[in-house]
Amino acid sequence: MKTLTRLSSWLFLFALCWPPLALASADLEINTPAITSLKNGMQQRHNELAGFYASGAVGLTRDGLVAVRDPAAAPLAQRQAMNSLVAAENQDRKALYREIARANGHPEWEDEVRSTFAQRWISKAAGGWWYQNASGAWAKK
Amino acid sequence: MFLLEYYIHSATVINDSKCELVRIRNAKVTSSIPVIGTRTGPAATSCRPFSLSAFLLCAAISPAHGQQISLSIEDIVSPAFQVQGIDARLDKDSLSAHIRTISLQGKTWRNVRLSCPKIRIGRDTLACDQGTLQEKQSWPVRFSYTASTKQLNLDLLPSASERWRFDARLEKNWKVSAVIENGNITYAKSWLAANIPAPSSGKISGKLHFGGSGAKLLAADADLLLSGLAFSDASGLHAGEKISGRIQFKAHQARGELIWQGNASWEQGEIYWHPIYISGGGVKFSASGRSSPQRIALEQGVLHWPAIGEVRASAIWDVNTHQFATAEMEGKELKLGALHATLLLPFLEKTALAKSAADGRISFSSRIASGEIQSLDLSLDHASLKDKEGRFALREVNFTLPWRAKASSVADLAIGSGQLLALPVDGFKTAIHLQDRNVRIPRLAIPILGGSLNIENFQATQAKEGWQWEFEGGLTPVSMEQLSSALHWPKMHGTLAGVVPRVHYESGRLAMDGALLVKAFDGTAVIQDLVLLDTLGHAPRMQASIDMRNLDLDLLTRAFSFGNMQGRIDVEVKGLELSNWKPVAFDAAVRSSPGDYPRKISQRAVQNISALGGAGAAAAIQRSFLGFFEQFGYRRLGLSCVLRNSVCLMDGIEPAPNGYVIVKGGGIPAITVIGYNRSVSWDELITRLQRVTQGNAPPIVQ
Repeated sequence: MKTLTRLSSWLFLFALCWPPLALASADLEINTPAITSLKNGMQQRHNELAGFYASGAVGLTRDGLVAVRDPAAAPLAQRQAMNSLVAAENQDRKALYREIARANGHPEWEDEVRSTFAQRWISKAAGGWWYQNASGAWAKK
Repeated sequence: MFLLEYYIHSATVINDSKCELVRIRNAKVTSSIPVIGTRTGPAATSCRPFSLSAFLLCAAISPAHGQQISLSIEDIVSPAFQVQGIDARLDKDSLSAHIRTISLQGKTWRNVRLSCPKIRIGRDTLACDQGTLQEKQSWPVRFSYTASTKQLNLDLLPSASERWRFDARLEKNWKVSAVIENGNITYAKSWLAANIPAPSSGKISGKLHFGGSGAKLLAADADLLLSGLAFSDASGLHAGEKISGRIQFKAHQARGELIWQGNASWEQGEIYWHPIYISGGGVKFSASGRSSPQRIALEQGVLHWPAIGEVRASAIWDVNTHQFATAEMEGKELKLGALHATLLLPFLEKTALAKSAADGRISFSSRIASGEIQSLDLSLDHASLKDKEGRFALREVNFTLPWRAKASSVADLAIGSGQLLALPVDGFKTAIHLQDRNVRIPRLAIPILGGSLNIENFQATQAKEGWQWEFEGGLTPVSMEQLSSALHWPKMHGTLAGVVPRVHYESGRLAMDGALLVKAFDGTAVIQDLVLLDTLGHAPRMQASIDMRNLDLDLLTRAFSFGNMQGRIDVEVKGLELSNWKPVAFDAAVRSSPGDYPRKISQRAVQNISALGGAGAAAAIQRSFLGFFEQFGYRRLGLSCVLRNSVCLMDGIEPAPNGYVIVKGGGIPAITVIGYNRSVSWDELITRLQRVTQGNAPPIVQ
């Protein structure tokens, strides 16, 4: 389990640092204190979310966020924490896309940044995780 | 062999005094022997009670043993239920019946089959000891019916340990009782509305008794034990697991009302009702009241929760308007710690109280009339509230709130002591004025470090977009020694005081009208155009302009172990922008203040200033003869930094060959410091500043 968590942490870090493909004109690796803070917060939270990704309770959505997919896959005592983590993660993800677009000097690029990250998260997700395909249906990686 | 056919094309049977209609269409009884009589054609309508069972029995006891009889009915319709496609066949002593659909209370069962290979038929009774009832599942069943007493006994045995026994007396004044042993609670799933969490497992045991007349319920009595109950809705936001408990209920009719009384106890298990999670059980609820078609009155409801305390309630629910005509709720001396952790904290997630813990006692009472809250009395007794991350703490909190709708009220708050960040706060009292959704604090003085943080004209209003608030105030002189010590900063001298202009908060944006005036380091600082965005988020942003005048360099350099300097400086920071409390942009300049005052700079300060300008400048001074002097005179000094994209573009007070002048010499001995690096990474500059202010290491002078 520890190895899995560590592996998924590395994948998460790699996903954060992976060179942009779709949005060639925007620097997705741009760093500002706000972006650094958001990434740090997300990285810390990732370790708590990894178990929910692995169990299928939480999945990656096609719009660059995360969502509770199968709540029954999480023990009852953890559902409050799971919902809180999902809400906090989505708040940070939205802020991250906004900050990256703003740091590039093009706030209007937010949707494109989000779309590129959505593909990034899904392509770098670990095997067994759930994600939404292009039609919005859940699929297991 | 004879063939007899008994038809009822259409019978309308009117039931009991209310004459509710039960319609039977196209009933036909076919027998292979002669029977008592025949009847065909439309049936008469009467108000006589009708029993289908009696009809069946008449048909069943007619044949001599060993003969056949069959019954078919197209449908039976009543306001309470519908049965369609009944086909029954008695062949010798074997009964088989098929019902196409049964609809009751909005639920439908299809293809229900009843078979009994050996039915006992007496003059007055019909009984089966080893039958099978089949719908989606197949259950062993025993039943008997006595025509004279209209007594039906039905015994369902789904498994060796599970039993559902029903005894019914099907007269005008009817009685039904049930005994359940280890009943599978998931059968209830089909009776529940779609928006109610459905049970997925669990057992129920106990007894139920109901009695009535016609459609009217006259008495009910239930005592049920639940074990291993699990339920959930589709979203998983409302679910329970491993729940056990007991439900007792009694009711009877009196003067047109149903008088009822019930107890429920939750003994163990866990429940998640978003966002609240409760586990462990030990909770009991008892209620009594009376119901009529117009209203449901809860005369007394008591919730006993050992971890929190006892809450009592009474209410009248108006069935026509779907609201509480009146309601009262009261809790005395409740344990605030458990109440806060279990019921309040889940709702405080996005607030500054998200990681807080509370202790003490809380009492409340509230009253609702015509669906709207009329009053709320709340008191905290010897309570405390602290942040688990140590950002704040309030101790010995006593609070009384007498809130009344459409009237002004005054709440009294007293704090024994507290802590804000690392700053200790002494006790204080204040009055909070409330009217509807407006909160006003005319004056609040918080004693802090020998001074006082004053908040005046605080006003908060709840709007559609959330809470909006504003205040103005100030800080009376606070000892900088105490402040720096409390915050674990370098020791500072002097006092800190300030005037806070009107500050207002709306939709996550905190802004300040006018200028914030702070007195520190024997000078003044004016902060203007202050705006805070996303204050509690992960990416808080701040914008401001700062103008500081006549700061005492001696106090300043002593505080930061920079090496002693004497003189006065002005600091101007325009367009300051912080993101997550770190600077991302500003135009800053430090200059000697105009005026006449002693100007001295120590050897170490010279080195530190020159170090900020880059290693080249520092090395040049260290190599010169000036290294022999402890202090120098200077005429003026200045350094500026324009921060953009994490790079600081530096300049001094005037140009110099290949650089810029930071300190212009004057007096004897005098010194001039020249900076050579114009572009320095902000992170590198911070590292240099930290290096020169750390550890009080003596300078190395060569």
